[in-house]
Amino acid sequence: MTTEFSRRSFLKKLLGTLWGIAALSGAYAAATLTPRKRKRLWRLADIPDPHAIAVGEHIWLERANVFVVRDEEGLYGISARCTHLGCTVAKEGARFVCRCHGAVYDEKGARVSGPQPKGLPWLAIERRSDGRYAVDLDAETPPGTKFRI
Amino acid sequence: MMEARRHFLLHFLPETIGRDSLSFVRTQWTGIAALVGFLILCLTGVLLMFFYVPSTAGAYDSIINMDSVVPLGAFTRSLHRFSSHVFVLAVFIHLLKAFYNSSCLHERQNWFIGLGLFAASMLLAYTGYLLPYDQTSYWAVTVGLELARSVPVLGPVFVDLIFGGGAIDAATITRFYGWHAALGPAIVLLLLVAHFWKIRKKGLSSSGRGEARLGLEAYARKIGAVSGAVLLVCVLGALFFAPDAGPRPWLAEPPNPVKAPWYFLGVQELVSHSTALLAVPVLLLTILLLAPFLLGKKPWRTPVFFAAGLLISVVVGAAVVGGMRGEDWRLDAPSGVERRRGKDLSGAMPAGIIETRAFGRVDRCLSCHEGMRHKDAFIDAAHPADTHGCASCHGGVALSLDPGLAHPRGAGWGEQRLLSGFLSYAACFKCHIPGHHRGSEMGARGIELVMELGCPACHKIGAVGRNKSLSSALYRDLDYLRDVLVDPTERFQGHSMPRYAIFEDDERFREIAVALIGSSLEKTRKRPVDWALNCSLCHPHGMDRAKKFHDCPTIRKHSKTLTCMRCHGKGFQSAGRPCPYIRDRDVSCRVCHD
Repeated sequence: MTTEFSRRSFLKKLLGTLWGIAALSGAYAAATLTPRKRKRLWRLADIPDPHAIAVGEHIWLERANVFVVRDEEGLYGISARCTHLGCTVAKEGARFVCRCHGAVYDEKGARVSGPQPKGLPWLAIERRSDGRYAVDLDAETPPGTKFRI
Repeated sequence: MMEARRHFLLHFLPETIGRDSLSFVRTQWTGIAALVGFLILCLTGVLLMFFYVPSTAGAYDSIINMDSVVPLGAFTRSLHRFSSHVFVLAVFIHLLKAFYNSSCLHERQNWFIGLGLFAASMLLAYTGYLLPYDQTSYWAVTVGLELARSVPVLGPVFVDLIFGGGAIDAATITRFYGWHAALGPAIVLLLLVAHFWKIRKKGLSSSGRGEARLGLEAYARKIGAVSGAVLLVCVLGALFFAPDAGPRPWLAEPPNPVKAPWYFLGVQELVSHSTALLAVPVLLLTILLLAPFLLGKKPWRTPVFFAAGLLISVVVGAAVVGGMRGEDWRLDAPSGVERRRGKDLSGAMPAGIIETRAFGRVDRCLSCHEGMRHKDAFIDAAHPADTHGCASCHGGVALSLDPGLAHPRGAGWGEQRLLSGFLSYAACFKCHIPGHHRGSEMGARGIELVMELGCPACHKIGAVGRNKSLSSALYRDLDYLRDVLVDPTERFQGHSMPRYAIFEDDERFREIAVALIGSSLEKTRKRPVDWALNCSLCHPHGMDRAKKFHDCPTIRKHSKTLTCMRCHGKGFQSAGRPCPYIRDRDVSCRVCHD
């Protein structure tokens, strides 16, 4: 080859450019596919009618996936999401039981047995300005915090 | 041979290959199996794309549609699923083979391309698992999501890119579809081309020097035979192991136990002991990734060689243990009596087991529901629980003392689901002719509706009618049944069932639900001719004849309510004479022409 710009060097450059384009496309695709971190737009999950829950009974809030339990001392919220692999736990008598992998929690959500690393978090209950009650999904409280109604 | 070489495409194939490159002992033919599996997956996958709706609302219905309406749809879906298992298994073994016969040392680049193919195959298999969007797949993928998230550093990135965020929702299913049907296969195809190009350039990895060679014709024939065998295995597997769409995802209660797909089961089992054990698969992957650098000239002298073997055995062993896990993630087989779950009966067994034998079945409902009476005094008197049991009408698993097992709830539980509320009337059909005794008016009106609308013209109702079974609709929830009846076009594409606006009326819907579910119960379904065409339709005086000609006082007493078929079923069948009512297809015209 007599020319400076030989076929071989041209092809090499072309290949390099193509690799560059491929890398850029990959980064572009990854950027598009990474979801925008958005905060949950709602923080408070309404409890329909806390007075309708009999003492010793509980309800399950579907959208928030939270148990709201009422006892003599008041109302409290416990997350229904198993801390092991995220299945929904069931309330069985006094205990919470995860049917997926046999995690067992006591009535306060503390770990009893099973593969879960920790107990179920308690969530704060608050009274809104319009008089309704709600579970604050962002406010984890120490176990035993109950809301007197 | 030279003649054949003239064809352009044949230049892709080498003139000869080593005999050992195609021996089963050396290769297990897993490369061919994986390729054939992938090709079947592409073909069936494209067909499935024409019917699948990637959304939380539409996915499940489109699967049911495929299984019940689309011609050959159920087989296509089954073939796709079974080939995916064959594909994943072949990829696994192929990978281990390349590691252990140290071809990863000679063919470094191809080893890394192969690892890429492995990752892409896992991605395809896993994303495909969610797409049917039923109870099983929803929860298996939920567990997988949490597993992925627990991987340090890469986990969260992976969760973002593949799942589109932290929860399984509408975004996830669309995204999985994109990965599964577009990006994933594209990556696999690109890497496959590179993989084969390397092989073509360097020869097959296991070919040694100076071994016997096979000519083009000979090896092409062998490859063809192996491919044909793999195809046959896939087709047979698809025929015998058809997938069964479970109930819709039910967010309040996961199934028990929740298992990841088998290729992730080992990891799940390890993590169920401690999250730290995630180190095992991570270490294994690291070894595989660095294999060309870690293994020495004599691989069997390197400790890594044995470490990998140990880790693989741990993962496979864990997968086997995970496969044996039963309810509550326990290893012991459920025995039904000792095992207790569900409602806490203050920690003790019931005071004693109270058993009833009702129609040949053991019924233990009264052990817990001690002294319970039916709230309807009439039923309590006519069918006392201590002789008739509870489950003979209300369903459930009467043998079990485990509340969770005894009361199968929700949709999709088949024969043994509980019938409560108005649906309990469906159970009357097990023994009685609808309309001839108190309480069955609802079912009787339902049957009139069935006959009037001409359902048996197209559907198999009980033992009567044409072959489109209704069971897929009946074993799901009532809302589903209502939707299908009111506007089938919403759910099923391209079929001829008309809309029945009449079922927007709640009362009408209840009537037909009782009739249809009553007809689907095992007892009624197995009869050669059942209530739907009960004899009194054609023989209005049959019951009076029964009174006249039957000596037995019991038959005389109950002649109004007992079905003829309880005794005459066999006779009717052997007579082989079709009932004119079945022959008379004029009911079918009314399906479309009022």
